[in-house]
Amino acid sequence: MIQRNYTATFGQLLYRGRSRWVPLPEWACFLLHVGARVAGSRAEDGRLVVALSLPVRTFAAALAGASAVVTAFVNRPAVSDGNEHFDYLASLPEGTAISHHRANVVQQGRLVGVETDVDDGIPRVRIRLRSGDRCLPVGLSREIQVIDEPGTLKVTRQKLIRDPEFLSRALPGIDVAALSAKTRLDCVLVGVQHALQEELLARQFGTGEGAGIHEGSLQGIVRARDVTGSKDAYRSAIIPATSEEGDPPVSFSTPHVAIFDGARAFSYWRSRWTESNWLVLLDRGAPSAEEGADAVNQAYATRLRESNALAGVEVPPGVEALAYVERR
Amino acid sequence: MTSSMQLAADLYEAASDLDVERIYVADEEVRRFSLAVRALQRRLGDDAGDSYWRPVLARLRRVRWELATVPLPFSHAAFGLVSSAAFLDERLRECQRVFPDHAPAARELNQALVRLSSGDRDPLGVAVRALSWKDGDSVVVLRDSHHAGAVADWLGRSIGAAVLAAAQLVSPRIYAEAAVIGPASWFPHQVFGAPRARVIRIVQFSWLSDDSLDIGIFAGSTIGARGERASLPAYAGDDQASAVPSHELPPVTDWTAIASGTGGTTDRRPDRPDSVDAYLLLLASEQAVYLEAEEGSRAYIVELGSSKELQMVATRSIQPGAYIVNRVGGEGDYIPAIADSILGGAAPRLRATQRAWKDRLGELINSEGIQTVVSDLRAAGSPRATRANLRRWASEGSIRTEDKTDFQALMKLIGLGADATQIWSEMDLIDQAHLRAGQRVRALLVREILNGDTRDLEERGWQDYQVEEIEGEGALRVARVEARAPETIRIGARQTRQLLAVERDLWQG
Repeated sequence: MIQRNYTATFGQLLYRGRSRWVPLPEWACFLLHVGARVAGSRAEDGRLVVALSLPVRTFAAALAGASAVVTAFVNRPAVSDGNEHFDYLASLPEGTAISHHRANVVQQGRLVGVETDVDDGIPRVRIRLRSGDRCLPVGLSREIQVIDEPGTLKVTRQKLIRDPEFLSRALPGIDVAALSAKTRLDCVLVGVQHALQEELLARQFGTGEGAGIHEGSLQGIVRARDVTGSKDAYRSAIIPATSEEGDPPVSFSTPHVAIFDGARAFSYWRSRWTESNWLVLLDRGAPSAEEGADAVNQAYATRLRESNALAGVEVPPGVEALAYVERR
Repeated sequence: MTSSMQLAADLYEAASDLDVERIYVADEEVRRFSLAVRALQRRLGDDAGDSYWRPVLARLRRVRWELATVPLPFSHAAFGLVSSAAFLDERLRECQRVFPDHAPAARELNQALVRLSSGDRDPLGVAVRALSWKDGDSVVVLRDSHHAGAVADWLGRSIGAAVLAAAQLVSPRIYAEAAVIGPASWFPHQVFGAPRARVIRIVQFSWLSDDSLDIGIFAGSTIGARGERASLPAYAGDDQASAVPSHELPPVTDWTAIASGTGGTTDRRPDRPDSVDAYLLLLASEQAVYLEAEEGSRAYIVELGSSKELQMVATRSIQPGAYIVNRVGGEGDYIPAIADSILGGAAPRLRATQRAWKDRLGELINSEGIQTVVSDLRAAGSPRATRANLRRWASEGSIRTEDKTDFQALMKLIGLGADATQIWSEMDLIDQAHLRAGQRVRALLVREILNGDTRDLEERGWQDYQVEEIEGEGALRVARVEARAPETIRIGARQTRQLLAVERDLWQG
C-alpha cells in the first residue's frame, strides 16, 4: 500500500517523470512522513534520533526537511516576532543598509553584525549610525529595518512567495504567506552544500492535474537561508558538511530538527544541535556509509530507549530505518 | 550532475525489486590448487613469515585470488601463470636444502600451477557466457579493476556486456542484469545494498563458502519488506570436507613491507623532528601515498556516486572508494608548486626566507628540546605556544602562525626579531598564493570532474589532469583509494603526498 496521505499538512505532490507528471513514489512519501514525525516528536528525557539507510540520498534531506519545516510551523507558534526578526538580521551580511526607527527619529546606517556581550551574555545586533554604534537586544531588534539603499528610505520588499499556486495546493490549510514571511530556524540541513541547493531549487515538483499543473521547488517550503541569492525570510539553513572550522549560523532559535545528509555530515557535526531531534540519512551506495553506520550503531548501543516515533509508518522496500532516543 | 527525482525513483525501484541468486561453478583443478595453497600455508606455520617463504606465498595467494575472481582462460596473458610458475621455480630451487621437509609440497604446488598455465580452460567465463544476456543492458562486475580491461576485451564484447570493477559501480546507470564474479562477501556493501542492476547473479566456485547476504547496516533496524529479497542465506560449499572459507582468499596487504619499501616505519623511536605520522593509502594507479595524520591536515576528495561530491576533508576521514588528488612527478604537494607559479620570480626568495626561519627553529628544537622552546616562547609572549602548535609551526606544511603575536615571539627566539614584520609580510604573500592555488585546483576539479565526463576516471580508477602552473610534467592525478593501512606510519615529512611505486605481490598477494 502506498502511503499517499503522508502528512495531514501536504496535498498531493507530483514529480516530473520521464514523460509526464506522476504522484510521488512510496519512498518520497515515507520521507515526508519521517520529517513530520521527527519534527513533531518531543521527548522530555532525550533526543529522538531516526536513522535511515537508503539506496540513494538524492532529495531525501530536501523532502524530509520540507515536512519538518511545515510541521514545526504548525506545531510551534512563534514565541515572539522579536526572535524571528533578530534571527533574520543575524543572517544578513555586514554592511547591509538599514534604518533605525526610534520614537519620531529615523536614521539610516549599516548592519555590523551580531555579538554576545561578555559581561551579561546577551546577544545584540550592532548597527552603525551616523551618530555612532548602537547595540540592540532581541526585544528592540524590530526597530531595525532593512532598506534598499541609504537615501531611499525604502524598506526592502521582495516577492514573498515565488510559486503561490504550487505552495497553496501543496500545503492546503497552511497560511503560506505567514510561512514565507517570517524567519525562524526550525531545521538545519547538514550536507554537501551544492548538492542540497540543487535539490532544493530543482523545479521537478508540481501540484494539480491535467493541463493545470503548477510547478515549483522544495525551496519554496524548506526556505533554506541564502539559497536563492536573496535575503528572504528563512525557515532552515544549509550547513556544509565538511566546514570543520565553520560555526553554525548565529541564531536566537534552536532548530527543532537537524538533518544529517550523509555519513560525513553526521561524523563532523553530531556534537552540535544536541537539543534538536536528529534525522541521519546514509546512502548505502557511498563509500562512507559503513563509517556512518558504525557511528549510528555505537550511539544506538548506548541509547536511552527505543522510540516508537515511526509506529504506523510503513518502511518502503529498500529502505532501512532505526529510531531511538538518546541522552541529550 | 543534475539531481533528478526520476533517477532517484529508478534507484529505489532497483533496490526494492532486486533478485539475487548464486551460480555455482565446479572446477577440480582450481579446487586442488587452492586447497594445496591452503595446505602449504598451514604446513609452514611460523615459517610462513620467513623471508624465504613470504614472496612465494604472496605470489601463490595472488594467483589463487585471480583465478577465483577473473573470468578469463587460464592461458590468458593477464594471469601471467607461466611467469608465476617460472618465478616460483626459481624461488623454490633451493628449497630441498633450506626447507627439506616442505620441499615435496612446494614442488607439487608448482607442478599444479604449471598444469593450470598449460590448459586453456575458462570455467568462470564459460559460466558467465551460459547466462542469458540482454545485449547492451548487462554488466559483469569484478572484485578488482586490475584485469577489467582484459575481461572487457575477451568476454564483455562477445556477450555485449559492460565490465566494471565493484568500485566503479557507482554511477546512477541501472542495468537489467549483473554477474558478480566471486562470493558476495568479497564485494563492498553497496554492490547489493545500493544495486545498479535489477537481477544480480553471483558466479562463484562451488567449493568456496559464502556468508549470508543482508543489505542492512544498522543494528536493530526495520527493512522495508520487499527489500529483503536482496537477502541470501549463507553457503557452506558443495562438499564441506573440501570447502574453502571465502574469507581466506582475499589478498593480504603486507603493510609493514610496503611501509619499509617506501621509507616509512611503524617504529616511533627515535622520534626524528623531520618525520610525521601519516596515513598510508594504496591507490587504483597501483601506487602508495602518505597523507599527514596531524590534526588539521586536509585533502581534496571526490566521491562519485548518484551525485558527484568534491570536498576538502580531514585526512583521517579518507576511506577506500574516495578519489584523492596528487601531483604527478616532482617533490611534495601540488599546492606549493602552483603557489610558486603564482608567486613568479619572487618565489625563490620567499621560499628561501621560509626555509631559513624553519631551519633555525628546527635547529633550536633539536638542541634545546621541544619543551624548553615552548617555555621560552611563552616567556617571549607567545600565548599559543604548546608542543602540538610548535610542532606544526616547525613543519613544512605550515607557512606562518595564525596570530602575529606568536610569530613575533618565534622570530625573537630564533634571532630574527628585528626582521619579524618583514618576514611576516613575506609569509603572508606565500599564504595568499597557497589560497589562490587551492582555488585554482578546486576550479579545475569542478570543471573536469563535477561538470565533466568521468567515465574514464571511473573505469580505470585514476586519471591525470594537466595543470599549466606546475612545472615539468604539470599534471594532477586523481586516483581512487583502494586500501588504507590500519595504523599510522612514521615517515619523513618530505615524503608525504608523493606517489610511490608499490610491488604488486605486496598488495595483491
